Amino acid sequence: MEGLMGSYFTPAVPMDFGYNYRLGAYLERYLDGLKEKKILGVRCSGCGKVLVPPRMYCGGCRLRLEEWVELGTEGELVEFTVGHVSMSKGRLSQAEPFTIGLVRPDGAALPLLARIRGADPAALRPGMRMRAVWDPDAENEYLVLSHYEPA
Amino acid sequence: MGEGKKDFRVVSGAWELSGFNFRVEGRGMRLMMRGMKEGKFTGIRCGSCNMVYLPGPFYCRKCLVEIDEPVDVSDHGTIRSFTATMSDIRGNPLAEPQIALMVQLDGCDSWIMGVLRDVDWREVRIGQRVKVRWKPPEERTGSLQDMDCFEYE
Amino acid sequence: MDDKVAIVGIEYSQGDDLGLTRERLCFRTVRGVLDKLGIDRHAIDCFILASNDFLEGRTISNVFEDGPVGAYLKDETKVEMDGINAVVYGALRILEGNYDTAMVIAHSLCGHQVSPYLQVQYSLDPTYDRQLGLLNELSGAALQARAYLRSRGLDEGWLDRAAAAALANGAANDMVTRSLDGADESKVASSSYLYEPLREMHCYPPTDGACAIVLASAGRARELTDRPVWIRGFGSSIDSYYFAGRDLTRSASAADAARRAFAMAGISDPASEIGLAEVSDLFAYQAPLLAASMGLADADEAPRRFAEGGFGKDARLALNPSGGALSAHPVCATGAVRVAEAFRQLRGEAGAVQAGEPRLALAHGQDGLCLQQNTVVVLGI
Ligand SMILES: [Zn+2]
Ligand SMILES: [Zn+2]
Repeated sequence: MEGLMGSYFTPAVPMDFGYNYRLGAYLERYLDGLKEKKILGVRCSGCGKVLVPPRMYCGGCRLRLEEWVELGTEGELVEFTVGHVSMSKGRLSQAEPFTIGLVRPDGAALPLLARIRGADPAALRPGMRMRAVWDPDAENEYLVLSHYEPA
Repeated sequence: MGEGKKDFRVVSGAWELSGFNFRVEGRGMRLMMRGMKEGKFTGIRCGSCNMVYLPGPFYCRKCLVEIDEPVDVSDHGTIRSFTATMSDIRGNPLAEPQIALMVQLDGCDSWIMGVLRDVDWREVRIGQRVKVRWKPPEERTGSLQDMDCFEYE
Repeated sequence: MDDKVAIVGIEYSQGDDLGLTRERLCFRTVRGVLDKLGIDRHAIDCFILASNDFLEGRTISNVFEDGPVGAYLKDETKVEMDGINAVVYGALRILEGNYDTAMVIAHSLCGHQVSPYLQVQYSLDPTYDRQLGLLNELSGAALQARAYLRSRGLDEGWLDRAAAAALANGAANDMVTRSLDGADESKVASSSYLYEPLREMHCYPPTDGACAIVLASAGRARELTDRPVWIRGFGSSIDSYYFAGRDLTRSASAADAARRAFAMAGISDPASEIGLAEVSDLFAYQAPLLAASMGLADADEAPRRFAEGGFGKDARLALNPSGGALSAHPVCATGAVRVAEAFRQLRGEAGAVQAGEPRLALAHGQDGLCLQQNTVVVLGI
């Protein structure tokens, strides 16, 4: 019975699952807006905040949001980070340093997370004015709003 | 909903989880497969309650103690349950229905599964005695496939 | 809450890779606490497992674990969250009156089996964040870290010192076996960047671990031990799912969870009444952020004091003398381990990391991105 105690198998188990997710009316309209170089949000009639990306309800007020608002394509940098790794399937791999940041579009209560390009990270400061850069041909429709750069 | 048909825009996503490094307790299964190459079954007995498991786990679920006592289990046993499979996994009819059994082998408390051959499925009864038909020794590799099927005693 | 529910026994282990299957780890942990108490599994009225199906690699994963934890033909349920919530659930079941004992068993095998980041990764919005591909547990934490540093006027060197202080505590703790033992400020500072300002050693390590906790009603507790540790209060709270809308420089939900727990425990001045706090600090900035949010320390003073070792085992408030989650983070077990660490501190059994003679302790667990969900348990003797 040599070497049996405490021994274990390590089988390979394939487990990749594909899903189809419905976007919902609010995100559909947001993505359609991007194609026209518009950033759309919705205003809460309770707290007055404009939420972006738009959502059907305000969690704080428990109200359904109906009032669509076109936000500025410029905005202010809230915070940023320089990534040195990327994550895929939960695994980290080294990446060329890239910058992502939270940018609050003019008129919105919330920031959007986006790539930041055209700026030395050392020169970035919260409150800096940023402007949206568009890529109408982007394969990923979420990346029609390609990135932000200093205004 | 009353809104009639609508084309929903859909995005695809995936849960990609194949990176798991599973560890599965191996002792009881190795013990069993090693025995099967010799044409016999080896289980593990709980020294506390005498329960015999095949394949043997490392603990007794009743007594919650580690167990480690190999014990020979007969290749004869009793049908405890059965079902006749009429179709393949896609629902296509099988030429010959396949009989799947749960068998309690003599000297063992847990049941194992197997296929019964050379019997009309309408004749199978719970309580019927069966025995293992092993593959010829030169074809056995120390795997679950070393057991060809069950047949009537 | 008066003497109604007590913790009577604990058993736990953590490490980079414990070299075990999950069944054997769970078995060993439960067997350990039962043997300490001198009881068998039939003395337990209900079993509560805490684990995460993503990290188990199979759904309804508790059905595979009820055997090794002793729950065969017993009342067994599962909490798919951090294990501290299983402790709260166990306490509630006993308070409800139908159970006198509850076994909580929390575990994960993130040290060797699977990436610990999966859980948060697949909790992200599949129709937005996952399509955009920018957000993950680490990039979110990096944004929070930088917002916190900026709000408190701290530089990245502070993060190095804070991590080194936490890891020094962990290195002294026999219950933590992490390969980063002996990490000092310069080692932390030379570990590689993941997302700035976070370096590898500012972030929790992938860890194997399991923790078993036995809870009992007042009457049963006194039969099982002469030194029960009483649950005085508990509370939880959850913030918005959308992290970009939160004030990242503090945790509103940790503050709310603590407020509820203190109210139940009859604590009016936590900063002077709590002698020991064990918080689940997944990243180096989180221990002082949490301590300040929960009213245990001044928001401006907390970060500097933490990095200088000012919340050490001799301080009036000892904060994570165990080394915290930065020293070992077996996802799902981490909050339960905080409860277990508080238990042995209150009983004076913490050995090299014993922090004086605390009478009242706080344990904390979290789930979600950037401290979204927090649970606090107050324990006392
Ligand atoms: Zn509102
Ligand atoms: Zn037994």
